[in-house]
Amino acid sequence: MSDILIFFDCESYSVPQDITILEAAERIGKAIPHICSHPKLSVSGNCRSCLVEVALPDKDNVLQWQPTPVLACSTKVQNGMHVRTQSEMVRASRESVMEFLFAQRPLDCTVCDKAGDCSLQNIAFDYGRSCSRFHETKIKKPKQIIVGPRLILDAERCILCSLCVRFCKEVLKKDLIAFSERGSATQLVCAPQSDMESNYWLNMVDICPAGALVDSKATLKPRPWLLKKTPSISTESSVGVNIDVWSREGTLYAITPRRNDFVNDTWMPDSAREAFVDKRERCSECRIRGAVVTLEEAVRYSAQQIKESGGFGIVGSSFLSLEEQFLLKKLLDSTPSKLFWLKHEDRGDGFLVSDDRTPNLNGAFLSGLLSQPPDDLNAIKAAFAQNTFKTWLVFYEDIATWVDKKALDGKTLIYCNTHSNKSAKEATVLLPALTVFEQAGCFVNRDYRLQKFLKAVERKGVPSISDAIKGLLSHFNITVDLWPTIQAAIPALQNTSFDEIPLTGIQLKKSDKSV
Amino acid sequence: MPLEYPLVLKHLREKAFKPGIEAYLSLEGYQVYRRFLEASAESLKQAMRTAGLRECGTGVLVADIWDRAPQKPILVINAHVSEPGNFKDRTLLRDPHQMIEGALIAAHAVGAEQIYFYVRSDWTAEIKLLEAAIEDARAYCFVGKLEGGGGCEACVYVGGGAAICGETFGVEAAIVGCRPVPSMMGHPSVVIHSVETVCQVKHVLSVAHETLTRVFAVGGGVQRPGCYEFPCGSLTLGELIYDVAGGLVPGRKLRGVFPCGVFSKCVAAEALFALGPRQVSLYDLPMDFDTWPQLGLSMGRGSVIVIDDAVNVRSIIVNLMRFFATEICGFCVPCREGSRWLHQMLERIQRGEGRPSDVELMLSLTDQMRGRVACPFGEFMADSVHSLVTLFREDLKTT
Repeated sequence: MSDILIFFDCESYSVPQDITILEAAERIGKAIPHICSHPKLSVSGNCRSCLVEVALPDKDNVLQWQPTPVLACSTKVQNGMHVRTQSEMVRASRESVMEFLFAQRPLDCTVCDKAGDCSLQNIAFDYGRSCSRFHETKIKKPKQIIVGPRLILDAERCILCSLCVRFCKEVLKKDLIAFSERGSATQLVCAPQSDMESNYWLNMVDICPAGALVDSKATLKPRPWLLKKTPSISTESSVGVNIDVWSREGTLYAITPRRNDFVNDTWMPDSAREAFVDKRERCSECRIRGAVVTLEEAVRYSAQQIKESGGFGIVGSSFLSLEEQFLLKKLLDSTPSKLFWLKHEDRGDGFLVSDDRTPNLNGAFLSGLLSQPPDDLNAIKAAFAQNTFKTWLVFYEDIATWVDKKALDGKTLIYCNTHSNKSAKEATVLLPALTVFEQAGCFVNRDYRLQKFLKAVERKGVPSISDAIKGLLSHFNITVDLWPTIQAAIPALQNTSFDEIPLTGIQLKKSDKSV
Repeated sequence: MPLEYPLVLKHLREKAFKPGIEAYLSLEGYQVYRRFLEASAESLKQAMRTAGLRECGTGVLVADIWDRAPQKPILVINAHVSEPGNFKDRTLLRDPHQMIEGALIAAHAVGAEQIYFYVRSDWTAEIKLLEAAIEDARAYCFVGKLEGGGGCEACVYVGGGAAICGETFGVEAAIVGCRPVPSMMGHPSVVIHSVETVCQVKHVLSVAHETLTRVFAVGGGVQRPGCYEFPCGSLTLGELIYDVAGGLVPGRKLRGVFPCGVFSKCVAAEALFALGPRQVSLYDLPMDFDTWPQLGLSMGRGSVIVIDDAVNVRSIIVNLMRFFATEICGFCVPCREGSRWLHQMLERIQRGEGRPSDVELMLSLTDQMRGRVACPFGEFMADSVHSLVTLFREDLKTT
């Protein structure tokens, strides 16, 4: 479809047909305040804050300005349309909407958890009145109503924008919450007979423009302006939900969804929101039989064990990043070793949680580590029982819990994990690892979309898995130039450095497979 | 004095009239329906176009509505109009078979196989009457699917009772079982007519086309309030108030009139209007479809409310504002918050706690609502309240 010409405040822009004025304004970087519209939900048009002045040329090419302002969120652009976003009438409309919104509403930004990340607050800063003309008694509405497993509603703060109601109806296809009553008594309520079963409640907290819906577990956190936002990828499942990680001084505080129209739109499951909470003890030091050593010593000892035992078994993992998997592939190719792999499957929900509960299984296909879906649980057990290999290099998988204690005895277990577990305690050599929030890398999701995650927090002194594998490779006299190797293997990444990968990722094909 | 010309109100004018089907059939009931059952939809549309019949309230030509009708629509007869002071529809519902016959003809013209009589829930007696009438009509095979195909089902659909449920979008939403709020998501496949319009449909086809009539409900400070029917455009507002409705009670003075119902502006008694080159007083304005929109007033649904100097104007305004504030849908911000604010202010003024700045603030708030609300109802409210506050500014000042 060809583009059309539209004028914003007398400047001409070329925009695609069939989009609304609001979408066009966002594309060209013009700010039109809006509260009740969301790019992924249907248009409602109830907040009336996106009103703009619009004119179309008549047949004599004279501009005919419409007498009343129109909604930018629901009016489609037309060729030759003129839009005023800053005129006196538009400003007056926005100011009047703000005055109406704030007349009855409590002005409690100072104690509101949404403050700093609140669209209503932002618009109020631009168009709110500094003093009130409202001399009546403010309407009292209930506060702290529990509307969901983790959701608290403050009815006084609610501006009835219907975003959450539309989210339930259109995205979840389930009426979890709805409006009751009518007119100025309208109130948000739990829909009767709703089973309340959903893994997506907290998305309503994200889209709530007024701080009326609050996550009961996420109150009293540092203000958003004190936190650093880092783009990342959820490791919950192979969907690869795009997330933002909020951190401050090395501590993670929250995970929120990041918009990616190809993957998760603007949503994420609740179950992935606390991925940073892990009560288990961290592995932060290299150890040989419990004694703390440096990485060099641990790697030297491991390489020596590998060389002595002839062949060795590797248990890889779909939790490894694409870079780590390429390094592992190099190690597999250059040493007498055999690769084992486990699947992690559970029932998905058909939306943003898939059956495959690992983030990077397709990365293993791309790096050439795997050629078919893995299921080596019994093979590993058998290999341990039959003493096939004396030395094992294991990533993440807690094999000590399901391999016989007897079979483990006498084996050299080189174990690599972020947190301590039974295998870490049994390990001969323990190599620490960094979590997805502490390093940068790439995952390939279920649709072969390559997505990168960045380092949100610095963890000093803990070596990464890449360092460990590189160290092992150096003992076999191999040096790897990692990124050129990946580029050679995946044609779609030619001429693209890691920094140049867009945050929304690159779509790869299944055939983009390392030879 | 203009002569009344009762067509729609003819049966109701007769003291002996009973709303049963036998009585209706004896008065040539359902004859028009029988006659036009075989007629093509096109010829019915043509008849409406020749007669120039308009939808009461909006003033749109019925022929145009039928032309634009979707395929196989549901015909909705909107008997849910809840405008204060408009008792016309409720009166007409007491002659239910006339409405059913008109609705059947309209359904035939638009190809509808289902008619919903959408009635306000508080009108219980009328609902009972209408339900019985539909059953009678079914017994006589006027209503219901015919064996050889064709025919039209009809039933009563009881609405929510709030004024907003009787607005066009409210009807559309209610018919598909949703909350009565304006929707941007397209419209259900319905054709909506008012009670008076479908009654007129029958009469347009039965009598000579020159006499298109309109029913007016006159109320307020007149001696003979009630429903009156006149040929369209044949009388002026002055004639309607003073000659037909008996004028004001002797000794009282006219203060203002809602010439088009309370969903439009209130006009001062001494107001003059520029109608073309002429200056016309309120009393000389003809009660037709085309004059009022030129003066910035909607034609409304044919109710006229007279305010004389014996009533407490402040109470009228407070009462009307209470109606607006409680009967809106609460969808858009300016209407929801503005009406509540205005209502609170007027209640405070009523309590005698007015502030000097109140009148200016009320005018400012109604100005802020105009052109920024989502539906006509909000515009009506802003217009109505703005005109009242401007007109009766002195009455709102607390001494």
